[in-house]
Amino acid sequence: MKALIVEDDADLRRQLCNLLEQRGYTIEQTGSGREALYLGQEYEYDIAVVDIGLPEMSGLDLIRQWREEGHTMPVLVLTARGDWQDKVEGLEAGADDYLAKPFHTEELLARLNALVRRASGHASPILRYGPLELDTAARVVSLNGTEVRLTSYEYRTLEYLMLNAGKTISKAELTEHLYHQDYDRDSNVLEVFIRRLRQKLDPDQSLQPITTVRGLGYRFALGGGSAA
Amino acid sequence: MSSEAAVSLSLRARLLRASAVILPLVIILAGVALLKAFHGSLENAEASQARLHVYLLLGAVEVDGNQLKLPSTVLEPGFSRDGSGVYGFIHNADGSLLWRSRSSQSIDPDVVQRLPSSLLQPGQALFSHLPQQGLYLFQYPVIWEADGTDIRFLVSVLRSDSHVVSEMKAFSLQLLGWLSGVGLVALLAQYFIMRWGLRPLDQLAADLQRIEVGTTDHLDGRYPEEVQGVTQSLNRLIESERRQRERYRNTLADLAHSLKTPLAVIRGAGDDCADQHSYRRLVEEQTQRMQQIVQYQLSRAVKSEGRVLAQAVAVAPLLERLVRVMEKVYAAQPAEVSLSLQPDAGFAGDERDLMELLGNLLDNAFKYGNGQVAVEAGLEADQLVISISDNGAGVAPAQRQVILQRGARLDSQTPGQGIGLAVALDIVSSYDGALEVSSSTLGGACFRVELPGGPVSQDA
Repeated sequence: MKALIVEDDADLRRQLCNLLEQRGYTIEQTGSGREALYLGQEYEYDIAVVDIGLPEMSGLDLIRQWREEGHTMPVLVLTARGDWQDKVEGLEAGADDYLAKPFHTEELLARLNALVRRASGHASPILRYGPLELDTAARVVSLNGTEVRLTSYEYRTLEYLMLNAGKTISKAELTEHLYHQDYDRDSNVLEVFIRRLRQKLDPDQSLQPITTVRGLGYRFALGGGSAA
Repeated sequence: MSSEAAVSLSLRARLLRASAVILPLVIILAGVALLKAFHGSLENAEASQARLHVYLLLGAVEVDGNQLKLPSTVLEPGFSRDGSGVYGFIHNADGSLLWRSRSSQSIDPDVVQRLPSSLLQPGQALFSHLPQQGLYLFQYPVIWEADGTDIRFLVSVLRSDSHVVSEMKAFSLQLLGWLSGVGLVALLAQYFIMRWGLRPLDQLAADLQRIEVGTTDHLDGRYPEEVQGVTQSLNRLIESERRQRERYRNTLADLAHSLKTPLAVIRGAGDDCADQHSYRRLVEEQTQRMQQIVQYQLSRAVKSEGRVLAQAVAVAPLLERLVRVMEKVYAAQPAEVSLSLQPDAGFAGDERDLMELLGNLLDNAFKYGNGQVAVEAGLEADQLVISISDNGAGVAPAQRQVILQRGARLDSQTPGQGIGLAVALDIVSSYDGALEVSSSTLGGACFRVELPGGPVSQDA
């Protein structure tokens, strides 16, 4: 998952980045509304966290402009005031959820998780396809009820594919959403992850959850999905 | 102050300038009228003098046959003295001169020639001024009955106007003196009246300055009726500002004091807590408590004073906005919302307060409800009544009193308890409203709010 963090307080921004990176998000960060506007226009993010009280360009204006230009990524606003007037203004500007400062890290993570899921059309935090189950909240994958141990990158790759189940995801998109933009994008690495995932999820090759669409990318597909 | 004076003239300068224009105008007009009247009365006196002279002449006339005879000296000595300024002439009907006074030698012959040309009927008198010659002319035609025949002749008396001119000169000089005096006195009087009349404003400025330097805290002087309105509003403004300041000070003090307890707990925990885990939990608990305190005081600080306003805020659009926003926030646990809103229902208070109050109540309904929320709003007399119900677990009757207990200190509440209701209650009570909890027909809790209300114009 790729997240954009827009917060002008350097300490809080660093905390947010650390927190989200620990939870497997790929992070872009900025303290300026103008730069955030540009980043949002140029790159695709799965979620943005925006502080309302930014210098130069307010968070509300930033969100409004993104929405006017048709950028639909889910946005969570952080507000210091926390009164309803503020929240209503943020939500009416186009934000999808709000959180008043100071907040509990667990609550922030839960809300972000819910927003990402909602944006890809999943109501429940648990994605279930056939014998395969992925709990986005607990970040646990299980096959026929037994937990499958995955590395962080493997988990993120699988989560992205499952959230976009049925869609063909190009290698470029997958890299874009999983790695930092400065990362050395060697598609071989991705192929290695996919191969390992296939081995772990489908050791006897009876399920075939991830198919390679030649020349286009990968697609996750399994019968009996619960994608709502 | 000097720049303000450049923008707008002082009241004093305005009044002085106006009277500097109007007063001379009035005085000049009065002077002209007086001169005119005095001149008129002088001329009247002149005319009656001349008439008197005519009668004198007539009294001295003797008719012999159809000849007119006049003695060489008449009663009025002026007629005999040369250059006396009184001249007499008598012409007969065909215009030939019958008699002229001895004084009349110096009169312009032209004037004498023109004397009989006036066409006067007997009984008609003529009085006119001949400015070029400096003379007043009085003519009187007479019919004399003697021996059965009527003799017509015309008596003319000329009088020098030098007397009138000199009188007028003296009078105008005197008048000028008096009027200038009056003008001066009037200006002076005006100045003092103005100073006296505007003194309350000077006093007001001085009193305000005293408030500024802090010797007093309100305007307590006695002011005239016209200024009383201003001073009353100023006093109200000062008072509300002072109360606001006090409120801020209290809030700040409350905030500082209520933060001390959790800080003390954290400080003491270093010695008290045996292990890392319990220390972390304690810090977590106490910061949560501090967060609630800060948020509560913050929401109190932005809350208005709860003044009832004449202009009512429309409730229906605000509730619709809030519901839209709630549906967005609670998209993961969507609720079916039924709105029954009276379109003209209004709240006679601050819009921000209403939004905060309803935001908190609706948030609770969405959070604790189980997929169903009902909102009703309407006016009952001049009361705005809003009820928000849900189908959640509801509030047990024993708990109802507790959650709405007014004055329950926040920093003594257990962590985790929402502050939304405390804020809502605060807002309601600042408007002398009411907040009740009961069970709703949906099966959960029903929060019913009563606030000062009023109708909203539909087109607004």
